[in-house]
Amino acid sequence: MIEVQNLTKRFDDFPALDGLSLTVPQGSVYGLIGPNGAGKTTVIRHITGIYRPDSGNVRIDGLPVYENTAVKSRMAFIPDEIYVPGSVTVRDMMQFWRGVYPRFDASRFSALRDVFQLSETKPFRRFSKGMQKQAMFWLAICIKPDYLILDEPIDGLDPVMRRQIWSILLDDVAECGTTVLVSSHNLRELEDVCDHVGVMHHGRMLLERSLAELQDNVVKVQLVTENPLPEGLTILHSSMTGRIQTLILRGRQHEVADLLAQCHPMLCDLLPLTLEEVFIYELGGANYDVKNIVL
Amino acid sequence: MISINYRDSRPIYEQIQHELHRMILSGGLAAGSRLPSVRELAAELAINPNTIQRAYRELEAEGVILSIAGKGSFVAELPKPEKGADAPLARFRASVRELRTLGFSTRELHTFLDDLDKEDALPHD
Amino acid sequence: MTSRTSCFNRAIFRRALRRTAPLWILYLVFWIAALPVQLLVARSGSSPAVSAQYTILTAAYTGCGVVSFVYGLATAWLIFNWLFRSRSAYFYASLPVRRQTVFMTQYCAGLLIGLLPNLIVCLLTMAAAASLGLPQPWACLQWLGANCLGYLFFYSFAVLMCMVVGQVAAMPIFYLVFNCAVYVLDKIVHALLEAFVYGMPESGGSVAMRFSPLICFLEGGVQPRSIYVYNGETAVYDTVGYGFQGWQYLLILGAVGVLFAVLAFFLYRSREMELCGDVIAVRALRPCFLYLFTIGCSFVLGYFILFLLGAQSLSSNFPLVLTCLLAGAFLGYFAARMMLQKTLRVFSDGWWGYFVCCAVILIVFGSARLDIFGYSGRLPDTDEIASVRVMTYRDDTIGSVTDPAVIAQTTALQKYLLDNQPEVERQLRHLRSSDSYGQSFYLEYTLKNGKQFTRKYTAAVTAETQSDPESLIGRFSALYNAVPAVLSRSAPSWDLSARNFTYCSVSGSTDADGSAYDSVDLNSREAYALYTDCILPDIEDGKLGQTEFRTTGSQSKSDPYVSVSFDLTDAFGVTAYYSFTVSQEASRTLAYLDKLGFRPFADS
Repeated sequence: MIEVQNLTKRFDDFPALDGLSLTVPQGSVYGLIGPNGAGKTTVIRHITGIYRPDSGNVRIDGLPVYENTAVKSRMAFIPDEIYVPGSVTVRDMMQFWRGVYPRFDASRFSALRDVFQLSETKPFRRFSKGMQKQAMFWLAICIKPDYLILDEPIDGLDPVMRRQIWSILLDDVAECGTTVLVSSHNLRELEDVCDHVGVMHHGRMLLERSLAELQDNVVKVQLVTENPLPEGLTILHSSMTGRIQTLILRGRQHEVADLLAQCHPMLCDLLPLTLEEVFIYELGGANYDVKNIVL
Repeated sequence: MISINYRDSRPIYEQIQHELHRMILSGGLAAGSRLPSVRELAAELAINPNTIQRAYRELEAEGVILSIAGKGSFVAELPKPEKGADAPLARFRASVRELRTLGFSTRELHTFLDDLDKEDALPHD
Repeated sequence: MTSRTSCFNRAIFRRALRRTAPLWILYLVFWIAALPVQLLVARSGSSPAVSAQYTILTAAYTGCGVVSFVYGLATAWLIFNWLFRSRSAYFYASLPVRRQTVFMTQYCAGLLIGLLPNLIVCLLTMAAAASLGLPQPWACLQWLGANCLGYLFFYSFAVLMCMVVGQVAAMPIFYLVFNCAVYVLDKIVHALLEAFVYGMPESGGSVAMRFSPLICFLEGGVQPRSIYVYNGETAVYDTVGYGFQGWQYLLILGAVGVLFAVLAFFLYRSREMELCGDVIAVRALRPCFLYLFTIGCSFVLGYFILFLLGAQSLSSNFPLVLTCLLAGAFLGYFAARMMLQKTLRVFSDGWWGYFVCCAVILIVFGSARLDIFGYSGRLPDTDEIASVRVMTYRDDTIGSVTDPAVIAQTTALQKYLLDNQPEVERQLRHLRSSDSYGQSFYLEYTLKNGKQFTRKYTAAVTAETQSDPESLIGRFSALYNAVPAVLSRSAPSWDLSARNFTYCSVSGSTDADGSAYDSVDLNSREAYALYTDCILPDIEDGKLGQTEFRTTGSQSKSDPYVSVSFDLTDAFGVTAYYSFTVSQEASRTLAYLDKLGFRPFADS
């Protein structure tokens, strides 16, 4: 389990993180979402032990991360900007990672060769960005990490490769209980693979839920009734087109349906919501620049 | 086997649940046959295993499948529909589909069935 | 932890070695060509063993100095330049390797590629020398020792710079600057102080040089030295071999290098990765950089501005010097703030820091000007002086004078200078005509308790002062022309014999018209006779070696004259040069020279 408690970090005068807390449960796939400048990459750099917090703490399995090689050796990190060393080949990188990560599995490396289909002797610098990312995934998977941290991982990968990589990752999640933390702009992608989400803005956590909880607790209703609406409805949003009211309500489907039945509607349709819509209504108002989060 | 429609705004677990249910009802998955494990399906579809898990749980709650610890999930025995009902049901299905394309919503069909009940003096349920 | 030691990681070590491969291969090739190959190829005549030693030890001198300076910088830069870019720095920071392990592994890799090629070259040189039949194990070992110590220092210092400086292009600049800074600043500060501290001479620079190793190496602080054996037959010392001097300095540098490495280690451990790419990557050192840079720029730029304005005539122009210093501080302060804050908008706040620097400069230079520490006003008691040296330029060959009368005369002059400071300075400021000038002179006191101090003053030579015995130049002239003082400039401190006169020539007018000139060389016996029988006695009579300080207009170049020059070489082969313009009163000398045909004053 990854636990961040009350993390504060300032870069000169700029408060990048302002009392941020998040919890990534064991074995989950956690999506970290937020507009540019929210601090996602900063949090991730704390979790991977690059930055030292000004205050607050970052723990994995109860142990602090910073300078803790026991914890870090079980964690693989793929940053958004990949470090491309000199004239190094994938094979050289594999030797390096082998010497640095104690759990590196060379047999897995060979086994995945056909999946990734990358030249092991071409200089890494000459790969396209997408291929570089692929190589990083290849190496990261071979570490057999307990924790996999991905910062904007999917940019530059073609859909086939994306699917293949997620397939392998989710296989590990299912079998070994690998915990994955993904930061991204792409909600569509995250909807498939995540079971928890955290929404960040201005260095703080706005909303942190399991996906199921989010989706089950918001209901969209199209209603035609001449009677007033019953009490006890939590209305997040309402609009009117002709005689049809469109309401966004908080609550579970059954409860809402029962409540609405009290006003004897002529028309009462319960419609499902996309994740994007859930976010928009949960976060409320334009204050949070939610449009930036949602692509 | 199962395909997810990304344009469909229903939650994914619902889609999986629905798809599996359909396959079982149509006989694509025979009674007693073993369903793919959560892990296999998650890997195949590139979907979070918890989502698959939830779909399986819902199906189990409906009684459509059975989970045996350590062995996997299996299709449950379903009561057979009455003989002779196949053809009329198939015709009914086709008619419903036709009406749908003409713009009838499910509610309107319900209303139609209720009215039919009233006509035939049958009890509502 | 694990079975692996927590200070070393093989994968990182190998990567460091591989990155620097082109560099250490080049280094190895360079030294193999410069030493063993050189020995095998160049065989010089008379004494091949000695010249082999010389080759090796000269190579040691360049090796521990300039070559190590460059190689140490290049190695550190190549190994540690991942610190300068955030991508690479974050990559290393995210690895499951402790910072201490990363540092020690990479530092040791750098040490290895400095020391191992040295060892290889040393062994190859020993083999090459042995194959020529001139085994020189000791010289080769000295080469190895000097090079390794020099490299240890420069490499460690470069590593320290990598930890402190976060910007890839700034690091070599800082490295170079700090290697020369103390020496350059010492020179500049002394030059500035000289302008308005009464009596302050320019800096000899020898102490400051020790703190600027690059300059020290270039100026021969460490070098091969001849080993002499006295040859009874030729009465000279023959060079039979070479040693290497400066070991004490090298060992100190090596120790300082280790200290720098330790410091770098601790700085690295506390370094924050988000500061990669900043000029100063250690937050606590930023104010240090700001103020050091401001003060440094104040001196350097201030001096430069003064130089552009023609600093020579600015002695005792305190307000102008101060203005230039404050202007230099202004430029330095805000430039440093721009570098630290990475923006051009630094003028809206932070002025108080600049004013603090100005206050410091004012206090320091003001207290120097006001002579708060009693520097200018120091007047030694005649009783406590052991000897003096009176010079018009700094020259180590001029001897000391122990004659009590001259010492008393010197302290009297010193007292005069102190009592009449305003007048002396005023006269210098008002040098109007083009043939007036300021004559500088130095008074160096050696006290009986061993202490030594020097003062430098400038006397105005004008049409009025040149013939006034009461003026400063008149009084100085009296001192300068006292017989013991003249002797100190005219004879070396060691015993002379004919064979020391390695060259002597007389040149000048052969008749009183000044129209005919001749030049004659004398052999060593003749020179010895001339010197001992004529020149020295004439000096002792006060008839020769007297210097007149006159305005440039009153010196006529077409007057008849005759002058004699001597080259006196001591047993070690060091030559001193003496030259005398023969005056009309020097009767013995003129009589001698008359026999050679020189008659400049031949009228009755």
